Amino acid sequence: MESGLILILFTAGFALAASVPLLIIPLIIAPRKPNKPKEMQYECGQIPSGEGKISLMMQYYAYLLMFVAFDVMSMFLFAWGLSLYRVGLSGLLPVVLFIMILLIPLAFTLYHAGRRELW
Amino acid sequence: MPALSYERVLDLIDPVFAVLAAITVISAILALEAKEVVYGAIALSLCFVGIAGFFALLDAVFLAMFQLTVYVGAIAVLILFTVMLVRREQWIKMKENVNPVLGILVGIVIALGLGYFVYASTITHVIPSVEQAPFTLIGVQILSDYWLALIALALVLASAVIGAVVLAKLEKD
Amino acid sequence: MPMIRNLLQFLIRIVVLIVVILILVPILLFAAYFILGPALPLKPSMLFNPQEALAFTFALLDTDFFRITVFPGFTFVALYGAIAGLWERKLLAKMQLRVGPLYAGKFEGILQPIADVLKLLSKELVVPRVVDRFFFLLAPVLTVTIATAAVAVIPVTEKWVIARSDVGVLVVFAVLAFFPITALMAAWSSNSRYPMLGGLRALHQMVSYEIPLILSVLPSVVFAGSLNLLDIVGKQANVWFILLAPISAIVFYICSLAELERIPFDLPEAEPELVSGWLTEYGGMNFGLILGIAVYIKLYVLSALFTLLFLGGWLGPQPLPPEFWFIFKTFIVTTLLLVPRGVFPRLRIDLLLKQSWARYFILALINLMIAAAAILAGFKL
Repeated sequence: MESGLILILFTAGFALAASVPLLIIPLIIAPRKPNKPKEMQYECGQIPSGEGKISLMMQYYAYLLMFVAFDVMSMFLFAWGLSLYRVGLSGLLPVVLFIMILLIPLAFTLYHAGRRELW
Repeated sequence: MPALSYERVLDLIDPVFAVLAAITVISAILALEAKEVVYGAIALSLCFVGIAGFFALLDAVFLAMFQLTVYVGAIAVLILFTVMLVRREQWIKMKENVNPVLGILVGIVIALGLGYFVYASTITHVIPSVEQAPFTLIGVQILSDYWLALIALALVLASAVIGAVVLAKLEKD
Repeated sequence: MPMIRNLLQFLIRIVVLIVVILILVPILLFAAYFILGPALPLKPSMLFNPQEALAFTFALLDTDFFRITVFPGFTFVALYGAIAGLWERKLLAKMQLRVGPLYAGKFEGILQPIADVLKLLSKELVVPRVVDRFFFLLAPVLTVTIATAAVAVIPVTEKWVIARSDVGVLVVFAVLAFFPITALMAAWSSNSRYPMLGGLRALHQMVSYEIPLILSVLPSVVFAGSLNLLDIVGKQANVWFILLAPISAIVFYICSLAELERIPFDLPEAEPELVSGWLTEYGGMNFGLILGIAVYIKLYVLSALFTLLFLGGWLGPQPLPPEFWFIFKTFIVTTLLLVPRGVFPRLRIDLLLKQSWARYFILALINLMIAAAAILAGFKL
């Protein structure tokens, strides 16, 4: 197993160990005066009403869907890019076809994401 | 078949493997059984991180990073986003008439059966290999031998995106 | 009268903190000495005779622990972040014809970051009653942890790197993929509408700008033929990749602005609209952890990545050491990333998302095709 990877975990662990005291120190030295306005959610001074969770951004759902597919595509393009010195011209056609095929849903989704009345 | 001995068990289990397996399985169970669905989605992303750890243990580091970027970065995010936006009263509670004890028993029997197959083989210990599999050859193989799979993958992704967009928008058209 | 009472309480708490630290730290050090002491060549006489400790100190500089903790790890990045914070405020002030922090410290407010940290540490950690306590407190800590994980693969020189990995570039992208989840976690746990809206906007923005970021890195990887960051810098000995792939460099720059949620991609924290976006319910050190430390760690990671991939990393004329060149170039890139805050207005969310797919994605693809065509035509580095 690559030894470099475990060091990444150790770095993350050290950051965790260093940031937890930063949350504990205010618990020791900061004043603690809970009162009702502080404990409610902040809505520019007025009293919040209604549910806290909303669903107002459905029109951008298409972009999230595209992201999943194009994330996979970019990873495969990485695999292709690393092999360019070796494969040469014979490997160009599948990749061009790959990108061309994936540009079609891009155009389709951009067209439909722009028509806001549909979402 | 070699004897079922304690030393053989300890030879086959790596502590890192055991910890990763525990994390993956426990977060997978949490993802299904959590009361709040959002906790379940977050536990699912932890499960994906565990699987990426397994890929790293098997010397497929490129694949581990692929898994983290695609599964945790895209799929877990999509699931989390979807779960957060559905209002609580729209969840349909399905009445399950399955006995949980029976399910656990079946799971234990299957696990014991697979364990028997591992013990009946001649594997004595896990060899941790020091070298990483050359991932630069993945691109070479994809373009020369498996180019049809690449095109099929492109078609599947394209149809998935187009189908999802068509299904998600309202029926005004 | 209440003012004096509060002051007394505050002073008592500070004294308690100091006493606790003064008792705990020697206990920990003695325990460490008695547990680890026989393994390390440490002698009590080293306290009085520093000459004997020299060999041990120099040996300590080569260990992984030093690299994770001090340089190029956490302390270096935190210091870089603090200096970048002060520099940002001074820069913006000069651009807006004012002066910036002036009074903390003798010279132009140089002790301002320390004053900020002390102030944030002494503020009350307000946790509203309706939030999900576990995730509310976990999200900032997780953001800082994940941001530091990306620092582990960024080399400062060939000698100073924490984790030498053959897939260094992909590790940074895998780490960047975690940030939408922590932003959503922070937004969801504050059970309120402004954070939720801000969190969704942050999610869409971060997610849409990740693809052009990944694709704009590809030409450098293609020219170098490897994902190892040390190899990529090594291949730039003759010509920097920014001259070979300029469009990709610009796309990378714009996408890093979007990943860092800086203006003009500032919509998740748009002050006139959303109070503070998904950070609204965070106060005190919670806020300091996310908005201070994690953002500046991300800033360091993206500037360092730009330097390594496009500007030739630590290569520079010889009389100055390579560490200096790397830090100098990274600092210039950081300045370029900080400047748009005083210059540009904010982009609207639908224009922002449409632009990333219609414009930057296509540009990154075009540059990738140009780079691939150059290599296939026989361009050798």
